[in-house]
Amino acid sequence: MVSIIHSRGDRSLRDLVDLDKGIVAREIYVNEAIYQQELEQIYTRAWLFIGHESQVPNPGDFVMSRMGEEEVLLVRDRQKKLHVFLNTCRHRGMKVCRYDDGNTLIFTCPFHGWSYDTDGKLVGVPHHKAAFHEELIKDDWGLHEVAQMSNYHGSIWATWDAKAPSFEDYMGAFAPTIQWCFQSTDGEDNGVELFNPATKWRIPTNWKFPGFSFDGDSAHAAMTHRSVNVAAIGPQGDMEGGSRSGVKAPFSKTSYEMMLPELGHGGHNYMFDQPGVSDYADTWQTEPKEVDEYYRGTRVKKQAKYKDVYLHGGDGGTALIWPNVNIQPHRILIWHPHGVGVTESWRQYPVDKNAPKVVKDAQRRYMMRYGGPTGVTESDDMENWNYAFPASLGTVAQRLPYNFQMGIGHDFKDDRLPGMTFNYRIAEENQRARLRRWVEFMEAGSWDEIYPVNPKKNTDK
Amino acid sequence: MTTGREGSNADDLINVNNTVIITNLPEGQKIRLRDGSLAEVTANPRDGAWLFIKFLESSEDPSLVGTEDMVFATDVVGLGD
Repeated sequence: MVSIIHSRGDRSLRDLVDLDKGIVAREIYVNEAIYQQELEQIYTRAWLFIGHESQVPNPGDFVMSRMGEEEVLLVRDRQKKLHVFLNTCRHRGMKVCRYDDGNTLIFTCPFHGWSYDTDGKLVGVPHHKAAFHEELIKDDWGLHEVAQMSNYHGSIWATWDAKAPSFEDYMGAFAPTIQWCFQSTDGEDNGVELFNPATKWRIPTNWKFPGFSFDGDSAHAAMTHRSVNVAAIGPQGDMEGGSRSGVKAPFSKTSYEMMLPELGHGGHNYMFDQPGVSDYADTWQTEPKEVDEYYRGTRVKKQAKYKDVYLHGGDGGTALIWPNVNIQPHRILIWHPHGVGVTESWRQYPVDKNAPKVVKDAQRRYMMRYGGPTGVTESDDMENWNYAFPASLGTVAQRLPYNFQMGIGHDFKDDRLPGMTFNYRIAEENQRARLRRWVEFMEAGSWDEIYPVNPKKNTDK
Repeated sequence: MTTGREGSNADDLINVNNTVIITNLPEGQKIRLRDGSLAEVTANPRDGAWLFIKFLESSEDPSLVGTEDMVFATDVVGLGD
């Protein structure tokens, strides 16, 4: 068991997180030592979202991404193979790339000129003969590459830990959700591309405020987003009273919180009372008619593909993949830690890669007014996180725990989706699942202690 | 191709100090190296630091002729014929 030592004496992390009672100490959100421990225990081990293969279509293409606090480069080498490298020269640490994206033959460090091929090999060392006497073994000093990388239906994930389970094992029963989120609207696998560039901005809060709450906090919408709903920013304008989301045709289903507590993933999704996909309801009233025509057409194709399939947990839902990325059909939200009290938020937006320009433009406009740093919905969320963090910093404030008791003890299983844990659509079961996994990762000496999942061990105090 | 002696611009291949501006060298350009070799630019990453070259002449090591390598900016001393 890993302890933290601070002015209030030795206290284990399990003293700070009591999930049987739904009580969590504010300290885990504001303590610098705990934050540094998270970077080591979580962000060097977990599978992290890097980007999408559509961002690097050609040999030599690269795009900057992040793993925790650290910058990485997603690169397609000249043999068309994908790599993820830490963006730091092996000589003296300078960044070898200071562009968000581009195409290159080599990455050259501007400090001493060490240069690396797109496959990470060190290929150019100035004065290698005269100064190094050809004694530097270039093969030993290439760019540092991730231990494992996965291209899962176009989405790219990576981990620094060679002992991490495979990506599909890491995802467990949420793997199909990821697959569906990267399908185009007609149901074709890997049918999307990402709008470029990603929107990025920093908010003065701990990454767990948005990261652990975002998908699993249905209760906040009615209060936090009331004005956005009333303002009718959705694509249907003020049709049917307006909403921040689009119109949906009736299709018998029930929304639940769904999670995998043993793996830490969770979100909201549907269990369907009938197979297949709902009919399309015209929704893009504020855009040219071609947009609805396009989506109506893709819906027909998707209906044909899934005619007899119950899409439990897989159609229209959202998932936060432990530890910090929220995957939805039209949005990818990443909460990068950037300091105990700073989070760098990234938004990336998938769109059907074969959609005509008028459709892509409409989708882009909607996403910009909905989310991101200028989107009205996320401005509401940021206001909460911006103030919850400083309000939890004080000496007296830290004596008061947070309450995560909503729906506690009311979780259940459903044979239609084995392995998944359910709760009412408004609950805090998702957040308790993530906090449980947080304790496990923070205490573990290695992946051997946290995978394969041992249900009995996970409930032991 | 300008020498840049009268005043330089971004497309110059040599600046007022007779330094070769390798960033601008096109593929196929012949260059002189510090050891006297003559080489041809086969690819230019345009980083101002490196060139990919093929050796055309080398009095110091004739076995290099026809081989390909990378050369660093400070080892490029002039333009070839």
